[in-house]
Amino acid sequence: MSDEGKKPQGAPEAEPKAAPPGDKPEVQAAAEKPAAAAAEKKAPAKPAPKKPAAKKPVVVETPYTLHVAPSPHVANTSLTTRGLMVDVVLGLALVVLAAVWFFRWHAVLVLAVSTVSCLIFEAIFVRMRGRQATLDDFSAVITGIILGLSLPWSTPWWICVVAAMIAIGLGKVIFGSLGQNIFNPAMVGRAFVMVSFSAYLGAGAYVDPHGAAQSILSQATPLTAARTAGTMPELWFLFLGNTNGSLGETSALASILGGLYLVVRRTASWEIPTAMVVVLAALAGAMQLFVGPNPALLAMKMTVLEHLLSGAFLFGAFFIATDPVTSPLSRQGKFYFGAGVSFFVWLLRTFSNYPEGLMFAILLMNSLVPLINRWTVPEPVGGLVPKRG
Amino acid sequence: MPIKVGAEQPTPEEIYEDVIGGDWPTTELPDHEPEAIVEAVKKAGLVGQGGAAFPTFIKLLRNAEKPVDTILVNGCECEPYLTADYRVMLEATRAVIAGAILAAKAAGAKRVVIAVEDNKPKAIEKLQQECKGTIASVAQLKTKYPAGGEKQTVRAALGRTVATGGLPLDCGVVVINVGTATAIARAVLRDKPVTVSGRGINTPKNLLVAIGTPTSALIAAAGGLKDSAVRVVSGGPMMGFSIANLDTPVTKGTSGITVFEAPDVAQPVETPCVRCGRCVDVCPLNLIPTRLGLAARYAVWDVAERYHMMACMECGCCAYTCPALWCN
Repeated sequence: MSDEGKKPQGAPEAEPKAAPPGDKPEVQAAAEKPAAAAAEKKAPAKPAPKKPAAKKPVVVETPYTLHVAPSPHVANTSLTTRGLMVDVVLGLALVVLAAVWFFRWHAVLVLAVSTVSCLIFEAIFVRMRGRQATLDDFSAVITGIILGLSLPWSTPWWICVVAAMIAIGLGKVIFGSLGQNIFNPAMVGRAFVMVSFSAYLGAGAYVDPHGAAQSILSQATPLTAARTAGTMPELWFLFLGNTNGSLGETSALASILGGLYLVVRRTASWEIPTAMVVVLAALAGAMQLFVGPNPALLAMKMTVLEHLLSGAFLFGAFFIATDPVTSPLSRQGKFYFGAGVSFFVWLLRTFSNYPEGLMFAILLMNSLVPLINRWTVPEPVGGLVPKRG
Repeated sequence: MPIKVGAEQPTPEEIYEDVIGGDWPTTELPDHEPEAIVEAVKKAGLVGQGGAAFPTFIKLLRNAEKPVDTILVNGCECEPYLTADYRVMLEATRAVIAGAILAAKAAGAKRVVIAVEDNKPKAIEKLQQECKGTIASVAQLKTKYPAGGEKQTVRAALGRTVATGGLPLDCGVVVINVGTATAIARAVLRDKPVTVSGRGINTPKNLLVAIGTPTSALIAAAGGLKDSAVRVVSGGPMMGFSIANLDTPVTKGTSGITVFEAPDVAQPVETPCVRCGRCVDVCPLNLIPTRLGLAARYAVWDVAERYHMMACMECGCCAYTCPALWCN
């Protein structure tokens, strides 16, 4: 990188007087000044009358170390990946508060165990790969919180630990850690324990037979009620969150407020939640209008608003589906992704054996993201690059 | 009527006086043949002064298949930190307009639009005054990097889109920089304005200098480097190239010299991409920079092609905005 080679060796740098102290940059090239004499003659031509008594002689000089690096030479350093992650944690804070409000110490316990285990497993697994653990990027914290919020209040602590291990190990680190995973880690962990420990986490896990009759813990979750009894709590309860369900999903209000914060901060894309809401509303509305209730499929009775406000739909729309790592890159792709998630949510809620289909819908669409990315490469402004020859 | 192309060279001072204070007709221009104007521009060796240094005379040649209806004078500064175009519009307003009208004559355009960003109200006001009664008008654009990029200016000012790999000519527009317009007006280019700026310089200023002037002379004329200066860039902060030797001369395409202090150019540590899509949001050409970056890093050129790498203009917005960095 240095140009010593090109320089005539005639002029030894014997004038160190105005030499600015070279700082010690890593990438550097010495720009010395054999031809400085010529430049100095020219220089005073213009500024000479103006600057007679500058602090030091206005001569641009001698061994001066300059950085050499590609452009752009400036960067917006106010926004970092950690900043994005902290934003998500702030957005989740409201949902966490709602969960603690409705489920008290059950929520505190599940959230604490899953978050702390996620951090511990992140440290262990990343070190196993021979890399430096980066717990301070907050991504494991987010995985832990979302995982905790997606579990029932009665989840035993050891299931939280197993879920965290699977989420971080199989969901994330095995693919190459942050930014490389195909599936949303929290959903991978949850899917694993939901299937493996269904006795602990099925519909029964939500209902506390010893709870007071008016307590939300004694009721079935709204989606279970809808498919078994064809009934739903009042919309108002679904909206505020005093219904039974997974910790983070009951309060539509908290999810909407926290989610809007993320969307306004552009930490979460607006395209995915928008597509999800529109498509689920359209599908549910179409069923209502054209098919009507079916005694064999009680879940078909659910209205548009009941679909939107119940289950983990809004929580997932704002906090899980918008995970940038596992969602498409282009705007068009994000719309397709959101639409696909909603389609599967609706399909699973209406026809499958599970009351809620969000987790599977998101995992399914996660697997299609590379394909969606490939299909939705946007056309550059001005059209495609013309082929040569 | 033929145009004389400089036989004896005026001094820089004479040129400066002439450009700033000379008499530049904007309404009753002498009746030059279009070919004569093109020839004069060609002989003078004019190239675009926006940075790309595209030969100007080629833009002005008439082409029956691609008629030009508009001369777009690009008064949007090409990069932050630079103010050379601004000073030209403010001080050589009439020369800019005269040059643009000459260009319109040569290219057979019916109108001249001068695009200026709205952070330069003084220039807009002065231009609007001087444009009265001519075929020229002023278009006020939002201040936004990279508004000075040719395609972006055409899109913002005229609502037309230049095809990838094409020229503004394809949609009936010829874009010239304000400095180029001035040079056309003079028809002889030996000097051009250059901004010397950045925090590392003692007294940032705009200078009218001869092509070939060494960077060291420019820096000296701007009060010299501060002790804290660490990087000298030929051009602006976004697309300029850092120079290793202060003898590097001003070329026809040099738009400025920017000098940075260490904190300005701190090199953050790269962290994994989480595909947050900030780069996709800011790309003025609607590309997916994160994919292009990966494809380039691993030299997977078919992927680069699939994501339209050749449409990239290297404005640097994606790298500027990327949050995957770790600042110590």
